Amino acid sequence: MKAALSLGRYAAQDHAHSGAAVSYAGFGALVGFTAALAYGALFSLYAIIRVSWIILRAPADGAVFTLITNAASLVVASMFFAILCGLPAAALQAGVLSLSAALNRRWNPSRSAGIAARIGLGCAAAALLGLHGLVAAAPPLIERVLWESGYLFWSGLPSLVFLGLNFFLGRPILMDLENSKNKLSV
Amino acid sequence: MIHAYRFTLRLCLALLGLYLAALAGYFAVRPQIMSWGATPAETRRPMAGDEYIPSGAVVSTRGLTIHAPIEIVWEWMAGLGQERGGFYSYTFLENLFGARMVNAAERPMGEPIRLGSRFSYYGEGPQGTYGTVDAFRPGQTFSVHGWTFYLDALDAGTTRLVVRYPFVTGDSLVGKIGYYLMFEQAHYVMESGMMLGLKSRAEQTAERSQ
Repeated sequence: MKAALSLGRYAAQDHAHSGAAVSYAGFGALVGFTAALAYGALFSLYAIIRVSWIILRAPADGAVFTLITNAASLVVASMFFAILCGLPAAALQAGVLSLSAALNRRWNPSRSAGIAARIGLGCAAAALLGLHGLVAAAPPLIERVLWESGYLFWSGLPSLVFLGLNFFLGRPILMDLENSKNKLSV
Repeated sequence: MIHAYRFTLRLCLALLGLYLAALAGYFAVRPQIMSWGATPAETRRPMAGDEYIPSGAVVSTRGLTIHAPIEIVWEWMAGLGQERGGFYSYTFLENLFGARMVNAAERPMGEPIRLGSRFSYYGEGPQGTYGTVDAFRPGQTFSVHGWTFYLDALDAGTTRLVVRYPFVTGDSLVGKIGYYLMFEQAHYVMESGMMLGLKSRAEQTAERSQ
């Protein structure tokens, strides 16, 4: 109880005058949005390779035009969807990074990289558990997409990326805590 | 942190730049994409399902030459739809959206299309999304709510396939954005994939029957 009150006081102080929590949130939002874009771009690349392979196996007139326009279309459609998904991803990552920074301040006085990584991983895992709980309560179509053939794409890989990112984001948080006394100077 | 922030910002801007470049490239050749493979005469010609195209719909007309007799191409074309032989397109993309698509590879599957047939766009059974074949000429053409498939025999062993697709974006800004920035591109990929899939299947069948 005492620890929870103390953590709450830290967060309130950040919001009230130093601006650090907002900056962590801003950095987190940027990371979340960029991760969604990068995921969309990597998926585009994967889809372009597979689609191009099939186009080349069924040669038709104008194959070069077909290859290029299919590639552009895949990038446009995937990246637009990634931008849409990037908005909730930004909000989620902003929250997780802010929490992670606050917990590091409270429970990682020695600024240990190992503890920072575990805190990041723990915060991300808690957020994922919450998300999966929401998905389990979602309409049947969403469950169907998420839990069958599309599971790896929609949920499995993004979850791994999210956990991995938060594992490694402990380091810049620690550097910031060390160097600028909790203030992100960007 | 400042280095990580700057790196992330640069990566974000680079990815947005990639998106904008692809978007600009797409719209630079959009007229050719909307009439992919079709001749000007084919894009203008009336087709069986035109009367079902709502006014204001965005219409694409695409064409492809298939080196197989029209009878063979028709067999494959009349097997379109998820409850039949699938859409012959990119299965891995279809199934990302939970379609559970199985695309026939060796021979057409299911009961061939006829006037009034149920046509499955997505899914099967009670959870499927269906249309009805509302225009039909055996061995040549059928249409489902304006999505029209047409065959023309160029000679005994060569067939033209022409596909016309209408899309009503509606008046809402969200509908227009969704269509012009995502659906149209996705549909082009899947429809051109379907036409190429139909071509390769029909040509393989023609080769085997020789």
